[in-house]
Amino acid sequence: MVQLLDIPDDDGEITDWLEDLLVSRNFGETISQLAFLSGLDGLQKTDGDNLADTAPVTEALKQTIVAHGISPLNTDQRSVLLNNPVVLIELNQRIFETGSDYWMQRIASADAGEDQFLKQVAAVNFGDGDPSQRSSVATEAAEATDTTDLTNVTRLESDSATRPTLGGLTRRQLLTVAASILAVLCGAYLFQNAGSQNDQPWGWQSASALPAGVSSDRYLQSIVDSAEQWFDRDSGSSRQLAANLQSLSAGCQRLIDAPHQPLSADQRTWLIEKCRLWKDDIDRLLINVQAPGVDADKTTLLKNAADDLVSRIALAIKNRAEEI
Amino acid sequence: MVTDRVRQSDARQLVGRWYEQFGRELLVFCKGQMGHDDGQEAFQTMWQKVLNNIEKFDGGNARAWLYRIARNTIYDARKKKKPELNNLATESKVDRSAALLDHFLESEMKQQFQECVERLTPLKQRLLKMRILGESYKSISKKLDIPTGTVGSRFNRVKDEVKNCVAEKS
Repeated sequence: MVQLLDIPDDDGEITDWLEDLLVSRNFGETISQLAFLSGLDGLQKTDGDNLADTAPVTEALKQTIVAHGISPLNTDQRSVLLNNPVVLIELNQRIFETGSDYWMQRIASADAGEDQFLKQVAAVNFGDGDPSQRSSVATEAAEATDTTDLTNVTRLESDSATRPTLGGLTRRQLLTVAASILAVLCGAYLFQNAGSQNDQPWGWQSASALPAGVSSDRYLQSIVDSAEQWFDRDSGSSRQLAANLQSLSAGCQRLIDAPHQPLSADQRTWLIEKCRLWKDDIDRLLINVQAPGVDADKTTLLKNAADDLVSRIALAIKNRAEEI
Repeated sequence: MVTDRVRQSDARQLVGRWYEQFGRELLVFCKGQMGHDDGQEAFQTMWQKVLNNIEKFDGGNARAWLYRIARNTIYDARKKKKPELNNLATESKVDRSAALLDHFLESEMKQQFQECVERLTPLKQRLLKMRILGESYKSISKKLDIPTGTVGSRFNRVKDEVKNCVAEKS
């Protein structure tokens, strides 16, 4: 496939084509073809007008493109871009590294067909299933079984894989024993805690926390409602409190990373900045809960502090929603 | 020992979350910079580097940190193929560009495209080049002295000619 030849007839559609090109998985191939067309090949400059003459594309223009895409450019500016593979390469890197909402949506909509490979790499590095929930111990146990067929994926050896064997047992045997012990311990733990833990995502980690296609005040209210699910959780023991704080912290990270499309740029900036501060507070509480020697009284104190923090978070977002 | 194990587990979970969040776009980035096969390899290598170096993450911008590792992995892979790239100051944008173009210089797709374009008549080559490099039909009509109404159809025929040629070669 030669992506360059998919250039549309209609001038009005060239913006879309160029944006697709800039974040394409065929970017390098396409740019090398473009460079050939513009008289530039590899490290050789065959047309002095094109390679290093990046002056017409100002830094301000590049910043506009990185934030908002190609559409703010006029035809001449677009043409200058197409004649400057060097600038396109720089823009490609900056677009990915900056990760503006505009480009992330385009990348997400343009991307398809990599699921299998992504799963395979996840399986190698994190074990099967959800990579974010996989522990190193469990991964080692999974490595011991070694049943995954990964024809296109190189097995990347971790430090643990190169450990010497002990007591005449092979590494695989040791890991199998470790996996069996782990399974028994996990079973005992789960039995002891049966009914006390709910694995469903809650709060800001739930699917409904960040609704799409709603007004900004409705969106913020949804974040408030999700935060207040904290009070439905059982945080009576230090272990439960720690688990809930961990979920809250992960949810906060989700808020920091989310595009928040229903919000204006100012609202988004406010929310993300606040979330960073709140996450620090949550993580500090978590460290205290996980510290050695936390007794029931201290757990109660920490739980009260967490309740107070969540109340303040909910109030701050509620106030912001009411300002809209 | 237990603490180390817990810390390792937390780190792996953190990287797992990053993988879910940034993995897909990083794969597109790596393939865009390296091509399909080399891009997949760079992608795998970078995640192993992330896991091995997670303790060096300072808690700042995870996206920036991951892309720095991706970029360095890509440079390392290119240097392996072309040791002379060691001499490049790879943080310079011109050198970065040169390194990318050099990587694709002898790629099959690029060679096929070049050969097919070189087969075209000089007029067709100019038409193809002018249109792809952003000139309007009106401007091309003026410069090549052909009726505006026929520029589009001529260009489409040239595109088809190159596409067919590339398809025959691949």
